[in-house]
Formats: sequence, C-alpha cells, structure tokens
Amino acid sequence: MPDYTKYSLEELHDAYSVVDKEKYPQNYQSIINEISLREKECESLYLSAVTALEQDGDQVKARQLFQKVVNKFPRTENAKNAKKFLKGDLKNLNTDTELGEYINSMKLEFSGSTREYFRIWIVNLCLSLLTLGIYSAWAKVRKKRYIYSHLTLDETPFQYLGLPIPILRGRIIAAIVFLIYFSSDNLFPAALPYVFAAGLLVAPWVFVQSVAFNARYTAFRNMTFRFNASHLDAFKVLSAWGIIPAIIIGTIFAWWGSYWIAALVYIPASFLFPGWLKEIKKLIVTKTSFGGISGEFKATGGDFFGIYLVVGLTVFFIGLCVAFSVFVVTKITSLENVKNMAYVITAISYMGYLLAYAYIQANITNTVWNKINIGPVSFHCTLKTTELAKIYITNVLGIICTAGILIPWAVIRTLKYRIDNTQIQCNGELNAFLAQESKGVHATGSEITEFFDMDLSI
Amino acid sequence: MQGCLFDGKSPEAHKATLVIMGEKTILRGQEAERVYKRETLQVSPRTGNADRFIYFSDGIQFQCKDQEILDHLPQEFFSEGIVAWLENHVSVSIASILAVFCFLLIGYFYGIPALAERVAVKIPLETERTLGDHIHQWLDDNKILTTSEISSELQETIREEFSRTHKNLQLYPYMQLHFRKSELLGPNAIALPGGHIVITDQLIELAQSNNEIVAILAHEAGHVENRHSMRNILQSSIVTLAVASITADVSSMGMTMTGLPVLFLQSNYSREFEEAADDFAIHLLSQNNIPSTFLADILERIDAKYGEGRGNDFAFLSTHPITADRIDKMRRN
Repeated sequence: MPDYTKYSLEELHDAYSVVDKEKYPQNYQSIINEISLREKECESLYLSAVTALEQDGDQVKARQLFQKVVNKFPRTENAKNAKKFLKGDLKNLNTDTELGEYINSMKLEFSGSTREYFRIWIVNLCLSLLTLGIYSAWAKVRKKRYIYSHLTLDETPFQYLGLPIPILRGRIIAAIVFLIYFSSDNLFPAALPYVFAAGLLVAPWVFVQSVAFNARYTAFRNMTFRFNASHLDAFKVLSAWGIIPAIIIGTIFAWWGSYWIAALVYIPASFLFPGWLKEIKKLIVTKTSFGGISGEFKATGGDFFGIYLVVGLTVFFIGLCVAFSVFVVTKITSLENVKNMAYVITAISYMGYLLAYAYIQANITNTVWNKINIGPVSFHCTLKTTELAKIYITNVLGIICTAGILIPWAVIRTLKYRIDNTQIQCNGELNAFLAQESKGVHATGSEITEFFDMDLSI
Repeated sequence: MQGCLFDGKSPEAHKATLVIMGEKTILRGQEAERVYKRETLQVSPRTGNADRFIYFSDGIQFQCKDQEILDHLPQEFFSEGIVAWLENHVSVSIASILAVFCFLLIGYFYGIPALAERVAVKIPLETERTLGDHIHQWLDDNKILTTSEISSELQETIREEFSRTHKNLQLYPYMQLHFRKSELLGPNAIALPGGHIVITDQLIELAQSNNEIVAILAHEAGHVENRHSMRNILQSSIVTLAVASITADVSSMGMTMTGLPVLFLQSNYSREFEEAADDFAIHLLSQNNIPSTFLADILERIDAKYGEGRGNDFAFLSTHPITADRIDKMRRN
C-alpha cells in the first residue's frame, strides 16, 4: 500500500478520485483518513494565523503563517483567503498598526529632471571632447551616478559604485579591439573571417564580464548584485551549442552555394531566433543574485516567439503591399515617379522600424519582467506600444531638429515612462536577502559592449 | 540629521540619527549607538538634489537628505566637487553648448579630413591592393562587369593616351586600366582601392573624342593619386564612431539614431572628394593642353541621356555634387 503520508493534498484528492473502493478498501480508507488529517491541519494553521493577526496584532507572524497555508495547502478555500491577505487586501487589518514596513508594494520612483541631467550631460560632453575622449570614463560615472541616485526603491536610492580608472582601461582596450576589426575589415579582408572567429570565442567572455561588472557595481542599501555565470555557460547559450558560429562562418565563407540552400539554413534559424533571445535573458536573470538569492525566470520561448511572429508577419505583409504598389505605379506611370516614391518608401520604412521596435520593446519587457522574481520580490510591467512609439518618434524628431541638444531630454523621458510603468512587490521579508562575499570584476567587458552598442540588459 | 542606516548584511532600513560634534560623530540607531572619528567619514558626491550617503569605516552606510553640512565632511571623490560646481552654473552649460558645437564643426570640416589625409599618406597603396583585387574579382564573378567588346586597337590607343598624360603622377605605377562591359553601371568609370580604374564600354561609345575619355580617366586618377578611398574609409569610420559615442545614451532606440546622421555626414564627405577629383582633372588636362570643356561635354551627354534631371532635390544625400554645378565649373576654367 502506498505511503499516503508522503502525498501532497492535491495528490491525495487525485488518488481519491481514481481509487477502486471495492477492490482496495484499505487504500480507500487510508486516503480518506489522510485527507481529513490534512484538512484539520490546514484549518488549525489558518486559525492560528488569524489569531496572530486579530488578537495579537503580530503582523509578521500572521504573514508567515498565511504563507505556510498557501504553500502547504494550495487551492483550498483557506489558501485563497490567505492569498488575499498577502496581496494586500487590507480589510482585516487594524488601521493604527504601522503599515509602513509591511506593505507589499515597494514604490519605484525616478526623480531625475531634464534640467539637471542636461547640465551634467553637456558639461561632461564638453570635457570629454576637449580631452579627446579620456575624460569620458569620468563622464560615464557621473551620468550613471545621477541616474542611479535618482532612482529610488522604497525611498532609498540605488548606488553606482563603478570607478573611472577601470572604465578608462576598459575603453582603451576596446579601442584597440576596434582598430583590429577596422584594419581587417578595410585593409585585409582575407583576415576578416579569422577576426570574426576570434570574436566568437571572445564574445562569451565579454558578455560575462559586462553583465558581471554592471551587477557588481550596482548596489542597493549597502548590498551589491552579483552575476555568477561561468564563461562556459555563456558560451553554450550565446553560440547556441555551436549553431550560431556555424551560420556566421558559413555566411562569410559562402558555404551555401545557391540561394536555396542558404534559405534552407536561414529560415529555420530565424524561427529559432526568439528562443535564442529567451535563453540569453534567462541566463542573465537566473545567474544574477542579490543577497544570496538568484533570480527566477518563467518566460517561455513561446512568449518570445509570439511577439516576434506578430512583428515578422506585419513586416512581411507591409513589404508585400509596398512591392505591389511599386509594381502598379511603374505600370501606370513612368519610372520617374518610382524614384520619388523611393524617398517616401524610405520614410515609411523608418517609421515602421520605430513602431516595430516599440512593439517588441514594450511586449518583451512586460512579458519578461512579469515572469521574473527574485526571492520574495516580483515585478509588474505595463508598457504600452502606442505610448512607447509616440515617445520614440518624438525623441527622434526632437533630436534631429535640435542637432542633438535634446538627447538628455529623450533619455530622461524614456526612463521616466519605463519606471512609471514598473511596479515592484515583496511577498515576504526583506531580510531573506543576506550579504555574500564578493570579488572585483574587470571593466573591459562592459566597455567593449558599449563600444559596439550591444544591449545586453533585460 | 535624520536618516536611515543600512548595515550591509540585509536590505532592511533602520531609522537613525547622526549627530556631529566637532571631531566626533555619533550614529544613533534604534538599538545601538556608535561613535566615529570625523575624519574617517566619507560622503558620496552631490548629484542634483538626490539623497546622499555617508560611509563609515566599519561598512555601515547612512542615507540622508542632501544638506549644506555634508560638504564640510570628508568627500569620497575630490574631483567631483569641481565638476559638480561646473554643472551647477547655467553659464557653464551655455558655454559648453557653444564649445561642443564649435569643436564638432571644426572637427568635421577640418580636423577629421586633415587627420585622414595625413594618416592615408602613411599607409602605402600596396595595403589597399588586396582589397581592390578582392572587389574587382567580386564584380567580375558576379557578372556586374563582363568582358569588354571594345576593339583591342581602341583599347591600345586609349592606354597610350592615358600613359602619355598621366605618366608623371606619383602613383602612376600602381594605376591599372580595365575595360569592361556593364549593364548595371551604364556609361561610367570607377576607381577601386589599390589603383584599379575601370571604364565601361557604354562610356567609350558615348564619347565623341579620345580627349573626353582621357578627361574622365583623369577624374578617376585623381581619386587614386589623392588616396580618396582610404581617406574616405578613415573619415567615415571616425564620424560613425563619434556619432555613436555621443548618442550612446539613447542607444535604447537601436540604430535609428545613428543611421541617418551618419549617412548625411558621409555623403557630404563623398561630395567633397568628387569635387576634389574634378579639380584634379581640370588641372591635369590643362597641363596637357586639353581644355576642360571636354570633361564638361561628356558629363553633359551622360546626364542628358541617363540622368534623371532631378535638379536640386535631395542633393544633401547624394554622393556626387549636382551635375550642373560641376559642368559650370569646368566651363569656367
């Protein structure tokens, strides 16, 4: 006879619904006994939680007990009520207790202003140019400090701990790398495939260093984040088990022969692309830790694929419309008008790109963050494509019309929108996070990715 | 002053008060009280009006509102004070805007071209050879350039004319003339890196005299002699880099920010090189007693037959100056 004491309440209910009462009367009896035992347990646990809350006024203990009810006896009526309380349904609480430390939502605010940031940006830009770029490391620290110190969570600002000298060293090395790439691209094209191959090997290292540097030098309440992935992990994910390098090298050396074979390779590859992106983000989240607790990532490849599919289909459809209209215009009028249409088409493509980018950004960000949690902390993101697209378009117009002066304005307003639409919740105690040992991380990685504009953040 | 202290072991906030009494500072938390020497404190730099942190020697941090007195305590970074002072004065910002614009304009119109010119001279033409051969091979392989149908006598004549007029150029030994037929390029001549000069059959057929062909070749030779392809690569790369680093903050919008401005800036450089090549051609022709009107004539004919008569539309994105302007310049000389 199975050991029913080891079954969870759900498993017991399942067993109860399939057991043959006539054939195995002993099992049947055991199951019934075990279920009634559990239900008594659940009831008494719930009762003690309510007592702690209403009679003792001990919020902490009540929360712990309610959480236990939810964990041990999910899907019961008691668990549902317990969840309601934990989510902050405050009907049962006395209003004169100190709610400040126990409220679920932690306010995330960005208090930076364009006026202040503009001054920082322009003065630092001027100094960077005058020093032919050497000061730029100090400029980066200064700008990051401004942004971080005006980003507050539960009234405490984040802290950027990066120092200029490591950043400067990193930038010098990045400049040398760029020089190598440049000379091989323009002077020694035969060497280019080997440069790329070397790049593929080095990329995981750059990736790990970059994310680790940014994590290590971000602090909240005197504790830093950490990124714990090994280079092997990064290599496995980035090169997708060798598929990505194979495709890239194949393209460079033109292995494909004909366009049909190339299509056979590229089309399945593009279907797998969203899944690959998901793996990268998953690597970042699950290996990032704060106070010893690592992130959890529940978004699936399907989530990513769905979003990219929408974009892909829309682009394809619009492309067809454009091709069709060009065809029609060529037939009806002359080639002349097609040349003029070229400018219109370019403008439309540019707008389309911005819209697609806004759509992807909004939806991926929402999906990913809604399914991330780190310990008791969870996130909720409500970005809208339309709003984001409006912001991007006005940013581009503003920057172009003012020859770049409005860049700080664009940065601040985009950031404000994102922060305003992000909420953070904590379903437990903050002291679940405990400080760990840490060691220094080299700055080069993060400088190289900034040089080549690779957005590796979530 | 009032604030919160963080012990660095867990992210919980503990209300605390900091009292400064001469050389001693007392940090009063909810449970305990600690005393620190004033000189061991470190205050984080001012950034706007954000809260600041005081770091203590035992790893504890104290967060409080930004206030005057914090500046009198030992600071974490000395230099930041100067920059912060600069940032706080509007006049500095305005001066910076002007300085940045001047710097960028001077850099673009004078600095970068001058730098590219000097560096290009130091890089021998041989290094471009591989690239040029590579491109030429590619054009041939992909049937953009096919075998010429110009008679070998005419080819010989043109080569002799070219040699006669160009043999005194410093980079003449590297210049290789190639005759090709090309549907895609129409009547055209291009200079590839490393000294290759390709001229199409359609151009030769359109020409009404050998002098016109020599004039076109002189323009292309100008590109080679003055190392335009190398200089263009250098200038474009520096411009791309500069735009990318200045707009790095808005990198969250992808390539949208860098694409258009870079294209615009690069086209301008291309146009400048084309003008320089025209000047070179006019000069070389006059040295050989060939009037530059020949160049004007052939350009006019090409434009009439194959040009689109766009006039002044979108000239700022074009790689060549407006044909009408070029022709005027040649006629004036």
